Amino acid sequence: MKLKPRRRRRRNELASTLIITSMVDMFTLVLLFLLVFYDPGFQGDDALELPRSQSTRAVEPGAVVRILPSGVLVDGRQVLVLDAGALRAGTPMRDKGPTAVTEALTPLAAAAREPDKAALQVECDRRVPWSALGPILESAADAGFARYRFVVVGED
Amino acid sequence: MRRRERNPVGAEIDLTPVLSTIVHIIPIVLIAVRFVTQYQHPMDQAPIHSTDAPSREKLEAQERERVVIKVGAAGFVVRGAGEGESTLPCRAPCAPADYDYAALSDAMVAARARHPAETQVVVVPEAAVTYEVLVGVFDAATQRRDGDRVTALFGQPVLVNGEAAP
Repeated sequence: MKLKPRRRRRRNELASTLIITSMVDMFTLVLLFLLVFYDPGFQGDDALELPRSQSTRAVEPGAVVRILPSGVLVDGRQVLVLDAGALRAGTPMRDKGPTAVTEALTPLAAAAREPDKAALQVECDRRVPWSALGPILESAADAGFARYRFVVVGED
Repeated sequence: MRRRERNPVGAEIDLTPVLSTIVHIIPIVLIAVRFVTQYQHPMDQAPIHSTDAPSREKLEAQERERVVIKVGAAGFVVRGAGEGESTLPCRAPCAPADYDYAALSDAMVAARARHPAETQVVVVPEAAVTYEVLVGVFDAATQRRDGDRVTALFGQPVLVNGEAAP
């Protein structure tokens, strides 16, 4: 009896490739996450340097005024120029605060959910003197902000 | 004439270069990024201007009740922690780290004992005092930390714009 040679079953002939689509998806998401939370404001010579504090109270959301030695930004837009943290001579003032800051903050205070309880996040550089910070807080008060949240960096 | 065959059907996009680029970018971003935890010091009252001071009689009556920290170029002057004012000088050259925050914290604990019902502390900074020093004052005035034990002091700091306390 002639035996038929037994055919060996062929495995998949095509070279199977590693499916890396999921990995690319994951890495892309990680990259986007890092880029979103990457704050270039913490770098550079004229960067925002927040002071360290023992406070452990979480930051509440609200309109943001950022005070750098070079100027004042309201919700990311520069509205006033400072000279090494000091107000320039001849800066237009309304009452006790700079007019430009008051005008920029007024619509934000009006747009708050509860205008009488509008809170302003104050991101101030640790080197800025009270001679500049005080008038800016006066502007915020004139604009309608009654509460201030001084943003600091945790000691841990 | 026979036409050349194009790419075979079912050819996949080669994602290896993309993956390689992303794998390189992630460590670069991780090195450059600084993760910090932000907190806040709340202040629920607009700054008072020293020109808005009440009458002299009212001022004298308030002096006995209020806890006031004057922050100057030479240190702190505290009112309300004992009889009269106490001066807490800073070490030369009086940079933000040279201020005596520990002594200020002790003074605030004493002031808390003298004014148990008071929640406000009036902070009067001089023009040249930086925000960093102010935050140190807020830290000392609002709570006292002894290891894990935290004692609440004056939860509502009030800033005064001007050279004198109202």
